[in-house]
Amino acid sequence: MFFNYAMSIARRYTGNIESAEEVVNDAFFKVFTKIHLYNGDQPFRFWLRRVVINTAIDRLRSGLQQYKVSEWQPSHDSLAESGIVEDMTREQILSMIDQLPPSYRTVFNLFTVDGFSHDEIAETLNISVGASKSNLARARQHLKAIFADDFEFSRKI
Amino acid sequence: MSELDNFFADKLGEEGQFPRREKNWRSLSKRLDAFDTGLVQNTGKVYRILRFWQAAAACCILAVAGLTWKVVDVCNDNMTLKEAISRELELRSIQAKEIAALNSAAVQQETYSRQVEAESAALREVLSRQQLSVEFKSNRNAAPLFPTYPDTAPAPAIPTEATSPQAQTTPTDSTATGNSAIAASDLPSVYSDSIQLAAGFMTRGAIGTDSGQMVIKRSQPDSAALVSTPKIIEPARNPSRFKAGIHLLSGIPLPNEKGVSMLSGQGISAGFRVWRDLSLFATADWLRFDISTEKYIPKFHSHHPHQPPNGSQQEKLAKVESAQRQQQFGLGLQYSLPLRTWLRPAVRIAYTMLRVSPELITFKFEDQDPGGPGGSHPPKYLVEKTESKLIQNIWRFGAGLEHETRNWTFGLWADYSNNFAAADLTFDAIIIRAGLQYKFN
Repeated sequence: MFFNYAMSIARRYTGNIESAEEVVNDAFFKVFTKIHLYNGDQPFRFWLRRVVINTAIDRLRSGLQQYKVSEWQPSHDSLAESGIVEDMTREQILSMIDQLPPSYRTVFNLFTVDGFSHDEIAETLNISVGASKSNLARARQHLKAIFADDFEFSRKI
Repeated sequence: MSELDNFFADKLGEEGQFPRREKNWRSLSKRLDAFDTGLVQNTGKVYRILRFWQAAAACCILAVAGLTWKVVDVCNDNMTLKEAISRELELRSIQAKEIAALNSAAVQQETYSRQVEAESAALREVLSRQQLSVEFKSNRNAAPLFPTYPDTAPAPAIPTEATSPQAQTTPTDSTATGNSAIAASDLPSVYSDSIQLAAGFMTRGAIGTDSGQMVIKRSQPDSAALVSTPKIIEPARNPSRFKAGIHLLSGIPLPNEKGVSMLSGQGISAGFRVWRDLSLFATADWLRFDISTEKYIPKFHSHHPHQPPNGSQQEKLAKVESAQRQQQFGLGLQYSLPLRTWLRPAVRIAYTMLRVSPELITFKFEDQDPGGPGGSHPPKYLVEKTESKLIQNIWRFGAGLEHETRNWTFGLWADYSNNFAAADLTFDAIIIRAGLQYKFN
C-alpha cells in the first residue's frame, strides 16, 4: 500500500532503484520497530514520508551510498520536435534530477518537492540557511543548463 | 517558487510504480526477526549511544571497584594503627606504674637509710662504751669494717661463739691487716652483739666504707632503661601486587584482505604479581570490525562456515558484507624484565577464548549474463543471521613497554594472536593495546 509511495520518495533522493530499495527497506524497518513513536496527530503518509527522507539523508551522510547516477539519454529528436515539455514522463524528470550532485539534489528535493523551508533544511542537513539557499540556487542553475542544452527550453522558463 | 520549481514539483510529486521484489521483503523480515531476538543490526545514533554508555559503565564499575578497594585498604591501615596505638598506650601505662613503684621504693630506701644511720650511731655508741677505738681511715686502702658482698652473693652466716671468727674471713678480709684490721680472735665475746648488729646490716644490704663514710649500696633499677624507646609505627603496606585498568586497542586481522577493516575496540585488564617480576594477568576485550569483501572468506565468518549456494549458474557472488563483533577473554603470564629504566620492557603469553557475536551477513549475487532475455537483472541479496560461537585454544604472544608511577602503570603492548584450534576457524591478528592500570597498594 505504501511501498510505491515510499519508493517514489526514496528514488528522488538516491538516484537509482537499488539504493532506493535499500532506503525503503531501512525505512520500513524503522517504521515497524518504532511504530510506537507515531502519535496519530498527522496522517500516516506524512510520518512515513519523513521517515523515508530521514533515512535517505542518513545514508547520504554515512557515505555508504554508492552513487550510481544513471546517464540520462534524452530523446532529443522526439521531444524537441514535439516541443511539449509537459509530456516528459516522471522517469525522464528523475533522470535529470539524478544528474545533480547529491547535495544539490537533496536540497532541491526537500525544498521544491517536499515543501521544507530553508530553516528546516538547514536543521535536517545540519548546514546553514545560507548554504541551503545557495545549494538550491545552484541546483536550479544546473537544471536550467540541462534544459538549455537539451531542449532549448530555457527561454520558455 | 518559480515555474521551474512548480514543474518539477508536479512531476516528481506523482507516485511512481515500482516492481515489488520478494527478496526485499525477505530481507526486511529477517531483520525484524533479528530485532525480535535482540540483535539490533542498526548502526544508528541509539546504537552509538549504547556503545558509549557501555564503555562508560565499564569505566564506572572499574572506578567504583578501585575506590572500594582503596577504602577497604585505608580501613585496614586504620585498624592496624589503632592496634599499634593501643599497644603503645598499654606499654606506657605499664612503664608509668613501674616508675611509680620505683619512686616508692626510693622513698622506702631513704627511710631505710635513716634507720641504718641510727643503728650505726647506736653501734658506735656500743663500741665506744666498750672502749674500743674503731678508726675509720680515710685511706682508700683501708679495710672496710664490714665486708661487702655482691648483690648476688649469699650473705654470710652470722658468727656465733662456737664458730671461729677466722673461718668467716671473706675475700676482702685479705686486706684487713695492720692497724686497720680488727682481729676477730681479739674480739671478746661481749662484742657478739655488735657483730650481730653488723650482720643485720649485711642482710638488709651491702655496706661498705668509703672515705670514712658508711655507704649503703643499693641496687636501684635504671629507670631510663625501663622506659623503652618508642618505636616508629609504620603502616602495614605491602608492595602493590594487584592492579586493574582499561585500554583501547586497534589491530590488523591476518591475512590482510581487501575490504576487511581494522579491528578496533576497548577492554579491561587486571594483573596480580605472583612472584618478583612474574605476574598473572587477565583481559577482556570488545572488538569490532567491518567486512565488505568480494568473496567469501571463511576465516572471517567462523560462525557461518559455508557460502550460500548461488540461485542459478548465471549468478555470481559479488559482495559479502557484515559488521562483526567479538569478545576476547585472555588469561596469561607476564614477565617484566628486571631493568631500572623509565620504560620497562615486558613479555607475556596468554590463553584466549573468543566469542563471536551473532551477526547479519549480506551476500550479494550479480547476474553474469546481463545480455540475456529480459536484459540486465538486478542483483540478488541474501541475508543470513548467524548464532554466536565460542572459539577456544587461541594463544596470544605479546611484548610491550610499561611506565610505572606510584599508583599507575601506563602500558603499550603489541600482541600477536594465533589460532591453534583449526586453521580456518578464525583469523590471526596483530593487536596494539594502549592503556593504564591503577595499582592497589
